[in-house]
Amino acid sequence: MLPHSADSNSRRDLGVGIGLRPPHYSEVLQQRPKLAWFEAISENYLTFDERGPGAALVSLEKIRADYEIVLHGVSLSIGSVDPISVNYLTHLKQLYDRIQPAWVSDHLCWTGVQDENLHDLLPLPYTEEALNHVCSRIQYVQERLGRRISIENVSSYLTYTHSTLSEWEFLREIAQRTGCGILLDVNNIYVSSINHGFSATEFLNAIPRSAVTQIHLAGHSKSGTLLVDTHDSPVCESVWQLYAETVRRFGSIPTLIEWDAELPTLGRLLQEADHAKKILEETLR
Amino acid sequence: MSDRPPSLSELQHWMKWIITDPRGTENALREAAPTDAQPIHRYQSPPFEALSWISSDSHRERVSRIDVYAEAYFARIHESISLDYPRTREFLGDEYFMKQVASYLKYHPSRTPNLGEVGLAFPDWLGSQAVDPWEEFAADLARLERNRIYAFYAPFGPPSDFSRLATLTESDWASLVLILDPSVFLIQSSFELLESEPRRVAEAQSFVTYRDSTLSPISTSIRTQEHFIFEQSQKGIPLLRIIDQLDEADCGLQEIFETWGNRGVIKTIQLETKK
Repeated sequence: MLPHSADSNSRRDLGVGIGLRPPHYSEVLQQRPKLAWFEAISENYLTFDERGPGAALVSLEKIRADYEIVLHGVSLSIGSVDPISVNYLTHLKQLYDRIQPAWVSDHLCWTGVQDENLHDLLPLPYTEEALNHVCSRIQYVQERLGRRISIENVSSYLTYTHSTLSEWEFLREIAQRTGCGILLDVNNIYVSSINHGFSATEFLNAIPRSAVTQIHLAGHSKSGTLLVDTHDSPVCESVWQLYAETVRRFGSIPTLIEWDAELPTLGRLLQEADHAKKILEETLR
Repeated sequence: MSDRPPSLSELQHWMKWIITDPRGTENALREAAPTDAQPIHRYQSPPFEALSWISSDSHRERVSRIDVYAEAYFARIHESISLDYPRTREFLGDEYFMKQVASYLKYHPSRTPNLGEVGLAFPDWLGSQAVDPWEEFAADLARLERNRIYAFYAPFGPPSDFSRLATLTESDWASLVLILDPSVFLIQSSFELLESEPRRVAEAQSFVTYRDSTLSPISTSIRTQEHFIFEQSQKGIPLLRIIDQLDEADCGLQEIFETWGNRGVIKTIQLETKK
């Protein structure tokens, strides 16, 4: 197990950043917006056949020359019963060696089984079996990558009747057992709290301060009676309020604005980042 | 099925089946597996009791919660393939394109961590299904669009350098090999692929796709001789041996060097080393 202090880079106060998406590469390189960091999706820079990393990685390297980069994965599938792909981890480590990210993360979920990737962040049952399974895999991944990883809570639309722990108990336990960081997605806490009827405050209060490495903020949408984590709109007022509550509890934690679908202009994203910065400053004042 | 809770493995296998069953959640839960559907492993008879693993008091709510994942599964992959093959989608029309993606996905589920790679076999899938000329055109159009993806993600080649040309001796020419940029991809088709409607041509047309200096993929038609020279050069065949195989004595070599050297398609030259 890596103790929390083993990787000094895993909690650096970089302030507010935004998700780096390919349509914004050239604007970022031309405008050089005033930000300390961007978060990039690791898989966008990985190719798994004989082709090389190509133009996308070159753009990322150019941006890396002036900014801190955090790499956020979507396919680690830490909860899957399939074996962890050594090929995937090898590619990931090569990317980390090349980009030297400030820290790295993925999700508390499973994304596929039987060698098929469903490209979704599927919820786990919160059981002892799943806890042991996830913890052993996080330890393996951290050893293989030679660094601490942060694990993000996901939005979910269903829960399982045989869960014996709450999501926050499960998350806290894996952080304590493995020394991994927690990427606290405030929008996901809000979405799941509405979908499953739990208290977002209870969730926040259960998370150990020392484990939190980063915060995510994003927009969601409504589908029938459920909220869905669509990343296609601005952060809503309820999530801004929950963010302020999070800052009051955890202090200044690097915060990232995610926006993937209906991607707005870079300027609009920067406005959203400014708003997060304002809340952060006002709450801490 | 017993009352004991499912293992993690049982749960994930059941979830994967219900999310990906082509019949949709409700129908998959209600119907026995069809005996004539292909590929048959995608269809199962429902272990109906497993639905009780999902928290809720009502059947309807359990199904609607699973539906969020089932719908997102197809929508996410459909969107990715649509973005990769915009001209093919426009030509086939949204509805037919969507049906093709759904069929493709049954046989080619994603086995890659990168969502952008899920559709790489889509052009060949279209080709394997093609009966009519317009379907063959769609498959070739998709292959051309796939070359644009390959070009964008190709590794970077050596810097352009033709300084060695000036110092070549006469004997060097026999072993001179053209080095193309790794972003160069070729295709031949019996259709004029740069037009929006299928027009079959008498002789196969050649198209080259490469990444330009702004990192954008460019596709353009080329002469058959150019195609042959590029294709053989990619295999490491010396230029003079390639030219010997051409029908025409004058293939316009000077022009090929100038045009494709300036565009960064031909990057440099090297002398074949004797083995």
